[in-house]
Amino acid sequence: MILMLDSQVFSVVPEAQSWANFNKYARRVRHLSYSSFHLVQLERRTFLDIARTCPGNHDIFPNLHTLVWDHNPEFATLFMHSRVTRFMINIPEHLSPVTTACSFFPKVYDCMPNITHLDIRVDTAMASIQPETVELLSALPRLKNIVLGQYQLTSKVAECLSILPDLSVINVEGEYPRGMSEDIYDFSPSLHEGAFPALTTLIFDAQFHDAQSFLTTLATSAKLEILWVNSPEFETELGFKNLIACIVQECPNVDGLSLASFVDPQRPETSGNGERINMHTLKPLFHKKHLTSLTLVHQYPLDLNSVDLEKISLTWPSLHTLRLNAAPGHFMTSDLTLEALVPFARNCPKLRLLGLFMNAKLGLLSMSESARFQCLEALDVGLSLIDDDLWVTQILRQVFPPDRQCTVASGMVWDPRRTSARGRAVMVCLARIGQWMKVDDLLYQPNDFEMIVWN
Amino acid sequence: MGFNRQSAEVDQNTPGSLTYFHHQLASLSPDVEYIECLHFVVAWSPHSTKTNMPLLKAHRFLGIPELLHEIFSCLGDASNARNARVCAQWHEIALDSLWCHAEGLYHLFSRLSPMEEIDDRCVSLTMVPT
Repeated sequence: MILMLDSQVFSVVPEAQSWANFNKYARRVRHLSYSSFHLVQLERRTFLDIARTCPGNHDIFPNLHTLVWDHNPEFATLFMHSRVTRFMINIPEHLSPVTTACSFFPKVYDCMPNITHLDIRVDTAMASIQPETVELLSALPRLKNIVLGQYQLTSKVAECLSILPDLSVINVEGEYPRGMSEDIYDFSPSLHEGAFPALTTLIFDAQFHDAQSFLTTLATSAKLEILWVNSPEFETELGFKNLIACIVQECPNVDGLSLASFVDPQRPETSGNGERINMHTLKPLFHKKHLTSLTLVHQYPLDLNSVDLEKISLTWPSLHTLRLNAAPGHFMTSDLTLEALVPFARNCPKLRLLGLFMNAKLGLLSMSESARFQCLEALDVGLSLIDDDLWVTQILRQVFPPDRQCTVASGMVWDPRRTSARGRAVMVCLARIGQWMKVDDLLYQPNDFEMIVWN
Repeated sequence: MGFNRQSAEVDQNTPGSLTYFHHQLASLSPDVEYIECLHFVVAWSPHSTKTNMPLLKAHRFLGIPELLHEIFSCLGDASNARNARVCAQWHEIALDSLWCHAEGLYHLFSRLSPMEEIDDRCVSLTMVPT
C-alpha cells in the first residue's frame, strides 16, 4: 500500500515572538483532534521543535478541554494539562501497545488529573496491560464516563472502577475487536459495600450467568437505567430467561436494555423450538412498563407470531428503540412477514428504530389495514428474506412516515473473519443485503422513475 | 432552500423569532447562499451603513455575543473566516468559532511559523529498491 501523506516541518524555527503571536489562535482552541489518517501530518522533528521552543511553563493550548489523539502518544503529552477533562486515545497494534501503555499511562494521570471522560482503546489483551490500566484509573478520581475496548472490562478493572464516586457511565465499545474474550471469562469482581455509587449506564461483556451474579452482588444495581450485556459465548433461551428475571428483580429502573448472545452462522441446528426466545422468555419484562429501548440478539430467530407482536406493541407504547434479533445466525426462514410492522406502526408512536427479522417474500398489506409510523427513522431488517425489491418498496412506503426520511438498514452482527462462516452463507447474506440496499435507494426516488420501472 | 428574508423580518417580533432565524442560518449551505445571508445580517448590524434597512430591533440580538457565537458555530470555516472580517465584535466571535475545534495540527502550527513539505515519507513508501 502506498501512502502519500504530506509531512510538514518548520521552514523557520519558531522564536519567542512567534509564540506570542500564536497565542491569539492557541487560546481559542477547546477541542483538538489529531489522527494518523489526517492527510497533512507534522514530522517528528516538528514536534521536537515545538517542545524545544515553547516558552517554559506554558500550556500550548491553555483552554483546551478535549483531546482526541489517534497517533503516536509520545507527542500527545505536549498538549496535556490539568484543564483537559476529556481525553480519547487510540494505541494501535503497530505502536507496541504494552510498552507504550507502561510509559504513557503515568503521564496521563500526572498531566491531566481532572479527566472526567476517558476513552481508551488499546489494541491488545487487557491481561497484558492490566496493572498499568488499574493504576491509571485509580489516579483519576473525577472520572464520570469511561469507554474501553471490547473485552477490556475485566474483573480487576471493574473492581478499580467500583470505588470512583462520580462514575456514572461504563461503556465497552464493540466496534473494533480489541481485547481477548478469555480475559472476561469468569467475570466476577469483588465488590465492597456501596460499590459503583453513581453508576447509571453499564455496557459490558460477560457470559450471562456471570452477569447475573454480578447484578445480584451489586448493591446499587437499582440505580441502573441503561444495561447492555454482550456475551462472548452462545447463550441458551434459558440463559436469557434467567438473566431477564434477574434484571427485573435487581434493576427496577432500567429503561434501556440490550442482551446479546454470540452469533455464529455455522453453529449446528439443535432440537428445535425449545432453543428459541419466545413470549415465555420475555414475559417477566412486561412488568417494566416504562421500557423505552429493548435489543435482543440470538442465534435463532425469535419464536414470535403476529399476536405476540401485537401484545409487545401494546405493552410498551413508549418504545423508541426495539430490535428483535434482526440478523440471527440461522437466517434461512422466518415466521414473520412484513405485516409484523403494522402493530408497531399503530401502537408505538415514539418508535424511531425498529429491527425485525422478516420474510418479506410473503404477506400482503392492504392500504386500509396499514397504519403509518409517526417518527420512525430507521428500519433494521438485518438479514430478512427478500425477493421482489420493488414490491417491498411499495409496501414500506405505505407504512413509513410521510413527512420524514426513514432508512432501511441491513447487515449481519457476526464478523465473517471471526466465525467459521464460509462461502455460501456469506454469499446469501451479501445478496440479501444488496437487495435491501436497493430498497433503501428506491424508497425516496421520484415517482416518475418508479412508474417507468413498473411499466 | 433559500433564505426567506420576508419571514424573518416579520417573525422577529415573536418569541420564537430568534430560533427561527438561527435555524435558517444553520440550514444554509455556507458557500452557496452565504452572501445573501451575510448581506441581510450585516445590513442590520450596528456597523452597517445601510441605515434604511427595516426594524432596528434586530440590532439587539446582533449585539448579544452568545447568540452570535451560537449562530457562527453552525457555519463552516469559510463562512467564519469571512465573518471575522465584518467588524471588531464579529472578528473575536468568528475567530473563536473558527479555532474552537481543531482537526489536525498543520493549520494551527503553520500560524506559529512557516512550514514546508518534505517528501521523505512519500519516497520511503513508494521507492522501489534497486
